[in-house]
Parts: sequence; C-alpha cells; structure tokens
Amino acid sequence: MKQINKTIILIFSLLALLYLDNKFNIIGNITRHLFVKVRTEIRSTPTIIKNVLQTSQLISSEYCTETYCTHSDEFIFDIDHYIEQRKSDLESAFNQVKNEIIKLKDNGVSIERLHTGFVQKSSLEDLRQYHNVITLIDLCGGNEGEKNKCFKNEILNADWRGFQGNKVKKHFKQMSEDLEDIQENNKADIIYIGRGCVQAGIDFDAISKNLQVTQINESTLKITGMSSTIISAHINPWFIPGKIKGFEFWDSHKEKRLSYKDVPVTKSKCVHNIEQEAIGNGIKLKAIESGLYAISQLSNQMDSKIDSIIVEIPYYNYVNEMILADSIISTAEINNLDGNYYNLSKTIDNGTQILIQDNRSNAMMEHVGQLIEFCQRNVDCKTRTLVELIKVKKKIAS
Amino acid sequence: MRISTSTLIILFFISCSNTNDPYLLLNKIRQVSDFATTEVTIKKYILANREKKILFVKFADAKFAAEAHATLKFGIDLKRITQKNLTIEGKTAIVSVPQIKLVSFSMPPELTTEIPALSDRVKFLNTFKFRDIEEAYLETSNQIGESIEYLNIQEKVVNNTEVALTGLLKPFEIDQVIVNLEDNEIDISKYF
Repeated sequence: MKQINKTIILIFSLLALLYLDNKFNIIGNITRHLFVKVRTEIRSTPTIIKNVLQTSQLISSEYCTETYCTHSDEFIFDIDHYIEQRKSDLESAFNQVKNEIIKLKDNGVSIERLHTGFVQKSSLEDLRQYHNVITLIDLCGGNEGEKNKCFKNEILNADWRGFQGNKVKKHFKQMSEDLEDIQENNKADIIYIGRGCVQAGIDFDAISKNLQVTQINESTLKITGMSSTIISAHINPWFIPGKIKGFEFWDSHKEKRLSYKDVPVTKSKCVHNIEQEAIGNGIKLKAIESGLYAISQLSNQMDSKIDSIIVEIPYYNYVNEMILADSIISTAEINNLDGNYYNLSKTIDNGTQILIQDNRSNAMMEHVGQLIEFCQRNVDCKTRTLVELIKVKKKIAS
Repeated sequence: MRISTSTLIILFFISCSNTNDPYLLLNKIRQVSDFATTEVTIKKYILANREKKILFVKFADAKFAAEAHATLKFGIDLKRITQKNLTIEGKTAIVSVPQIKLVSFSMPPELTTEIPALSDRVKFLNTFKFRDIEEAYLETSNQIGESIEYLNIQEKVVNNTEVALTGLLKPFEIDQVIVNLEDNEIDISKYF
C-alpha cells in the first residue's frame, strides 16, 4: 500500500513539476525537452478559385519595409514624448495669454476683470489652443480672486520658466500617472514584426472614365485625369520565400486574455503602417513617374515619335498625403513648402521629357490651407508648427 | 597570396553588386513595370492539429481551423518587351512574351477568419498558441504556391493581356495587340 502511495505521489510530483516548468520555465523548460513531444500537423487542403477578373493595372513602384504592431496602442504610447508636447503647447498658451493681458491692460481694462474679459475677447484661431489657454487659466486657481492674482503676479510679471511652479508640475505628474495606469491595464497584448511590400501604380480600370490623352503636336502628348493609387499593401506569411517570414510573432502579454480575433486586427495595423510609410516616402508620385516611364519606353519600342509628355495630376494632394502620412508636419517639411522645392519637370533615361503639372490654378494655396486645417484639428500638431504654416500661407498670398 | 587577395576583392565587389539581396530592398522605392491583367481570388481552409505527449501520455489534440482568402495578380513585365520580341504590322503589334508572371500576391490577415465550429485551441496542457498559428499560415502559403501551376490560368492571362495592352497602346496608333507566350510556365519566384 505504501509503495502504491509513493508511486502516486511521485507521478503527481512529476506532473506538477512538468506543469510548473511548462508554465513558469522554472528549470529552463528542461522537462519539456526531455519528456514532452509536441507535433503540429497542417493538413493539405484544396485551393478553391472564387473569382477570376480582368484588370488593367500598371504596377510601377514598390516599397518594401519592416514594421511592428501591437494590439493595443496604449502599450507603445510614449508617455514622456506626449508630456513634452503638452508642455510645449502650454508654453505657447502662456505667451498668448500674456500678450492678451498686455493688450487688454493697454486698452484700460482693469486687471481684476481680466480673466472673463480675456476669455471673451481672445482672438484664438483654433479650438485646441483655446483648450490649452483654459487649462492654463484653470491652473492659475479656482476662484476669480486667485486667477486675478495669478494673472498679475505669475503671468504678467514673469516668464514661462518662472510660472512653472508646483501647480504645473503637479498637473503633468497627475497626467503622467493617469497615462501609466492606462498602459498597465492594457498590457494584454501581442506584438508582431511585419515585413512586406506596398505596390503602387496606375489603375486604368479606375481612371478610364476621366483619362484623356490628347496629341498636342507630332511629338507631344497631353494626359489629363491620370492618378496613381496603392494597388496592394501586403504582408504575407513569407517575405522572402523559405527564408524570411512576413509576419513574425514576437511576444505576447497575457495571451489568454486575447482571442483569435485580435490577431488579424493587430496584423492589419502592421499592413496599415507599411502603407502609410510608403505614402510618406512618396510612392504615389513615384508611381506616376515610373508609370509614365514604362509607357514611354514601350512607345519607343513602337517607334513612336513622342518625346514629350505633359501630365496633369492633383500634384499637391499627393504632396499633402506624403506630409501627413505620419500625422506629423516636420520643420523640414514646412521649410520645403516655402520656395520652389518641388521640381515638376523630369527627363527620363530615353530622353522623353515628362512635365507634371497640378491641374488647379490655386493649388499651392489650397495645399497649405489643408495643412493648416489638419494642424488645427490634430492635438499632436505643435502650435509652433501652426504659426509657421500660417506664415507660409501669408507669404504665398502676398 | 596575391591571387587569393584579389579573388577576395572581386568576390566582395560581386557580392556588393548583387541587387537580388533581399535586405537591400528594404526602405527604398523600387521602379517596376509589372502590368497586372488578371486577378484571381482564392479560398483555402487551414486545418491544423497540435499533438502533445508527456512521457507516454497523449493529451487531447488542440485544433485550429480557419478560412483564408488570397488575391493573386498575374500579368507581364513590360520591361521584357523589346524590339527583339515585337513586330508591328500596320496597326497590329505582335508581342512575344517570355513568361507570365505572378506580379502580386496578398493574403490579407483580416480575411483569414477562424471557424469556431472546427477549432478547439485550448485543451488541458495543450494549447494551439498564436505562434503555432503562424506556422500554419506559412504552410498554407506554401500550399498556395504549389497549387498555382494547376490553376491553368495561362490562356486567360494571355487574352486579358491582349485586351489591356491594346487599351494602353491606343494613343500610339495601335489597334490590336497579339500576345504569343514563349514559355507556359508561370514565374512565381517573387512570392514562392
């Protein structure tokens, strides 16, 4: 009887050890390698053709890259970066409030009635900046007396560095803690590395209604209604067949909390990332250039006399897409707006001249206007950026 | 010694000039000229079992079943049309195309859905994990690659290419394009 008990205890101990090692890797998963055999069998299944369609798509540009993606964005959210941006916004609001106070004071408005007068009269150009100002005023104090005192002593007679007292520090500390809490609670996650390609080109099926090709003279063609598009953005199981995986499962936190449905959702984010990256690098404009190059090469083979192609496209729409693909308008991008940065005339290898024109007369103004609108709506766009964009618009207008 | 050094230098330059190096393809826009004329949508079931044995005890199999969809685009590489394989007879162009090419393959993750009725991923001490699912996808992709030669799509692609090329070359006074296929094998090397 004792012998049986001993055997049962031994088996249970062994199973417990296996379970714990399997779960927590307590002895380097040694038990797993020694005693555990796992085999995954993937069955052969038939391939079913669902549809065969005729298309006419010229894939002229391809961009391959690598990215990573997670199920919950909070997990990769950079708190420090976010706090720095909010501080920068608040500094800008501080300067604006200070200027308004000086203006109102010069007009004879008493400092005691400043905060109500200021909020009403403020000439703020966008809602986001308005919210920053309100946050700043709230930080000044709860009641009218405290606010007036703050306006007089801490804003009017001090600079931003002097203003950043305990209240501001406390405000951002609280914000940081709240964000950390959110991150902690969302740690159930999966991380994938994704490697794939984005293909862009000219989809003749889609543009056929608007596409017009006119022969201006013996050697010049004019094309209107042409546009390029993303034909495919894909991360497949294999990136390099048999060598490099397209999707690589990297890590997971609390995998059991996730369902299978979370896998495609996460992977789609990787696909979206590579698509945005390709757009940000100008794949659509490149696709038009390369597409025209391919067509002109072909025409050369036909002994065509065409040596010049003028193509009208919504050029600045593509430029805006490029700039906004990463949702950030950088200083370099703003500097490029100001001046004749975009060279629209190209000569390709076989001597054919390709001239790309925007098909709208007021394109540049519209283009900057759209960027300003984006910046006003987007919380991540710095106030400094908005001010710079407004300057560029004024410069173009003048 | 001198010979081996120069051999090494030559080998170094050869390796540098190898444009097929997959790592060099990252982060730059490549110019291509693939003309996609036929799009094929396929469906495939993924059926996978995960067997587990501890010592001599076999645990219940974990199962994963899903339905995957993929899009394959076939066409030709316009770069390969040169004066050597092109004949113009009046307003008709006769093009000899070396091979049909798989120009795009996409297996979108959002179109791969689990079949709950057939899946049973979590069993006692045996779970079909996300990592295992990836292995199943790789094998499915391999199976799709192997099945392409049996699609018998060549004739359809040739017909579609003739129509599409005629449309493309109309501004250059070509009214009809005839495509002759030199090799019946499909070039799938880019994806499989």
